[in-house]
Amino acid sequence: MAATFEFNEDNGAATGSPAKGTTRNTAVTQVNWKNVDDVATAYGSSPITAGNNSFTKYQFGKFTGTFNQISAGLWAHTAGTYGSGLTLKGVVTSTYATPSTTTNAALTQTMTTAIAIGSGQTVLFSTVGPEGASPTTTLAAAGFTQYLATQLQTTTGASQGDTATVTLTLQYNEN
Amino acid sequence: MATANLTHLWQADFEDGHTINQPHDDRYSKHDDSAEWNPSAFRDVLEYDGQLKMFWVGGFGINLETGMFRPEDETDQFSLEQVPLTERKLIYYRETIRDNINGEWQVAHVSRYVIGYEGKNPDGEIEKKVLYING
Repeated sequence: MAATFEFNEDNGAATGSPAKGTTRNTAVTQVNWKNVDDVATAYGSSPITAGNNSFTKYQFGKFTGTFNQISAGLWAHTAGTYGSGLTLKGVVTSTYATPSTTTNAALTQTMTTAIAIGSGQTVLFSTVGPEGASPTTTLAAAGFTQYLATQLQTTTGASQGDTATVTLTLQYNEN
Repeated sequence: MATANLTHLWQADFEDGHTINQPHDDRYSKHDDSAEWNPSAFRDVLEYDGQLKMFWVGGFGINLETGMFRPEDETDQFSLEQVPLTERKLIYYRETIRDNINGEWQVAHVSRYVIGYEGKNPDGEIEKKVLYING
């Protein structure tokens, strides 16, 4: 066995201090940018209209199971090319804000172009939650990554239909 | 939930002749079934009260006394040191990948196993010497 890992996603109004989503969805298997702030709705049922943005996605990893230490977290868009009129913005953060379709200025990194994972954004860890203050570079107990926050932004010239196939990668070391 | 399968298990040989082999389930000797999280068996290596001599994984070993690497089935050894290092400390980890392809999160997999050490050069600076082994 190795570390047991699952993706989670926070949704809904920001609540608490430090802020997190009102709803915490566990064992999330996909990330689809769409015109609704939830996990369950099929993206085809709530598509983004050209010229608008998706709701910001706040996903994060949860580590349990068996591991001595988790470290060196990195996050990046690593393969595939988005069509014209599409921009993927993102940031690794401990700060949650109520998701909306407004252009999210907190997402300071442009992730539209694929890069090597070694050049990805640094991901830190916390035993408290993705919102935990003072996240650390290593994790030596059950815990979480920071939020991997993303928003797909479109122009009116964006083509309709599914995006091209792209790969987003989360890498970490464990022993 | 997902865990990455381990294709290469490690072995740790100590100066006093004691050996620890990584179990397939990577269980720590003090594993607590009721706990959400347990240390892996690597914690047993870190906690053993003895000098670690050799550490093996993926067909390669590192001698922490000499800084020499060697394939498991050969006697030839090689060093990555430009200048002699002292106070060598083991480095071992697995680079683990979670890809999201076309919106779907894929099963975790180990991309590389990394073994080696860090040591102090004559100027007192820390240098790392590692091998990358495909997962």
